[in-house]
Amino acid sequence: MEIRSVSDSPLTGGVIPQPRILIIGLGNPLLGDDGFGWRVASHVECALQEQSKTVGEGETHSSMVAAVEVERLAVGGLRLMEQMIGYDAAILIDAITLGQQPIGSLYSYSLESLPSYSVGHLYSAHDTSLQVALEMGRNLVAKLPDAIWVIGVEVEPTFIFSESLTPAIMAAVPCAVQLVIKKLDQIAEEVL
Amino acid sequence: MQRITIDPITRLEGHGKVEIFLNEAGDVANAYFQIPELRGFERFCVGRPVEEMPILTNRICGVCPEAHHMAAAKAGDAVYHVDPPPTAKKLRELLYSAFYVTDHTTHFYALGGPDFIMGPTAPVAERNILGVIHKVGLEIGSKVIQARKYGHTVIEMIGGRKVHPCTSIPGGLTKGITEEQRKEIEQMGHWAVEFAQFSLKLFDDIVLGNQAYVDLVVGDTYSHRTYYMGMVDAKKHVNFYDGQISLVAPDGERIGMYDPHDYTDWIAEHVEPWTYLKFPYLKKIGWKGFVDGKDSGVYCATPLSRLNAADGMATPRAQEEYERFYATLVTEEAKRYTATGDTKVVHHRLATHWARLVELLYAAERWVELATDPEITSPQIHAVPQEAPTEGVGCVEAPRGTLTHHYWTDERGILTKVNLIVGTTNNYAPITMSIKKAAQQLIQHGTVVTEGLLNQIEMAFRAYDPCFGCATHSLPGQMPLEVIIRDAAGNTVDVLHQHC
Repeated sequence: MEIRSVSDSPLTGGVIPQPRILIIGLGNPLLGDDGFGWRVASHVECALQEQSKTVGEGETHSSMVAAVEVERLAVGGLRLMEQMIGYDAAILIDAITLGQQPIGSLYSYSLESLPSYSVGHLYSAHDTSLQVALEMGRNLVAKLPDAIWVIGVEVEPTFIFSESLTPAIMAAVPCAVQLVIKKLDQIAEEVL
Repeated sequence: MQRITIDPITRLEGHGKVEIFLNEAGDVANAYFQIPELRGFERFCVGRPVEEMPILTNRICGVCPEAHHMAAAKAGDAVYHVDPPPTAKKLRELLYSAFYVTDHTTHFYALGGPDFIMGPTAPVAERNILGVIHKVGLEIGSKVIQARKYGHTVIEMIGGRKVHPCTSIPGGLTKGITEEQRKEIEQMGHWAVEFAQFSLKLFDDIVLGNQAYVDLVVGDTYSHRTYYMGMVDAKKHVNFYDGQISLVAPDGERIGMYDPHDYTDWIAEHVEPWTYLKFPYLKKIGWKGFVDGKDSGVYCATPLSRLNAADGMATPRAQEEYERFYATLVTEEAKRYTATGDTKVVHHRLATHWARLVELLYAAERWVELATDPEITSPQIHAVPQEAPTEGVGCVEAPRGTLTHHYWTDERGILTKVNLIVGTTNNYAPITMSIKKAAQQLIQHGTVVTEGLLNQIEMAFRAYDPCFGCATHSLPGQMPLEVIIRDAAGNTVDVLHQHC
């Protein structure tokens, strides 16, 4: 498996023969539990690097055939869609408030199964929803991932600045890392 | 009117929540707009090196990281009493001009424009960028994406990263650009100029060519006679990156210009019991409530405000558009309010969308000017600070208003105090007034015309391009507009939702 960070691999341009999978930790790392996505993405990056070092001779791993890139972003809508141009699949990791499960519960959804409230444009006063942005991108024939998965954790919305996760969210990080790696393997098999 | 006082412990906060209070006659007495405030950022910064601020503050929210990066960088220069070399300033301004092109493009095509292109009465599901593409053609969508791509490319070349720039430090920049990059930036800039002109033509065709839209823009519903604020250069032309702050009265008289460092001499903040967010106002005029007019210290800081507060644009094509803007919109009625019978101020809030396009053209022209500046590839991009750090103010025009960062440090450059006045905060009082006025049109004598109320309220605040900070990235993207209408006794009459 080849692991890249986005900074040393331009988003567009360059022919990479392998399928490209993008893992994005979403959120604001300065806003407490909203930093969950960044934290998990960093752990996933380390785990993948470790995995690539320890794979023995003759062993194969499904994700070894894919070029996996890990990014941490605090953007949404159009900017997020633009980041995904050129990839075959993407995994988004984010803090979510659905109110259906206790705080700290993990979710694994395809993006399509999440509600798109932003059929209009008040999602943010500055942006469209990701779903609208993706539809726009696909209308414009941009190469965008066919499969986009969301690994999320249920959080209480926060407006207090902090670089720390609360204990319940911190406790969910290791499981989320495993969930992302499992999903990565599954996607890598599917895109082959 | 029965006054509803909300205990500070249960202050109302929330995404896009509007509370409308009726009087005993059933008419709108007050309207309150709640914006979620990110509390405690200033305190969060204390104890950190001031050099971290350009990186840290650009993560306050995902909307305008470039604006915070620039204000923080300039405040860092001031704290260290260092003047960056001309090339560093020009490169920062070049990055910032490219950012303006991306930001104003997004607002016009994805957010504000759909109200006009699809029509203000079109179903909300169609009033978005998809509707625009469907109506005007795929080519529009491709241009929007291209404009954003070029802007982000310039930001990455100068700022080191596409999303959160990281190259500004006290005294300048950590990297410059090569001649090869300069040529590429120039080429993209020429494309951006053409795109901006195309956008203005589109506005001409769709809005100015439709009398119903013109009537909407110049009508009373979306007009307020407030003061205006904007940064200007030495010739009093609009500038986004550096200059003095100009203040203009509702009748067009310039009441003063101040150096950003002196902002506390001019700006004070009013506190209301129903929100944590403060309402800045002009100290010398005073707070008289949510009212407009020359006696009220309420001011506005938007693209329209910047044009009102300046004497013109610094680039030729934008200047032509600036002149056409005022020739079209300054009405005889506006002139009657002035002592001389003449004025150069536009109060129509919906004209902000047009003003934004004039600024888009200016930003694109400035992008080309800076890309062709002989000094732009000079390696002299950093001046090493020689003095002990103390205190400093950095100010830029964020797309949605004047942005001020004020830092205090100890002798090691460790922050001891931080104060920020962000773009949207400047406009909190006028946004509240605009929402009230829109609501007054549809709520009279206790009769609430729910059809259209949400759309009119949306249009009232969308012109200001308000910032909802952290709400911009979270999935699944729930950002409902909620309007709660209460009678004179404070009882809820109606609750309207729109998952826009």
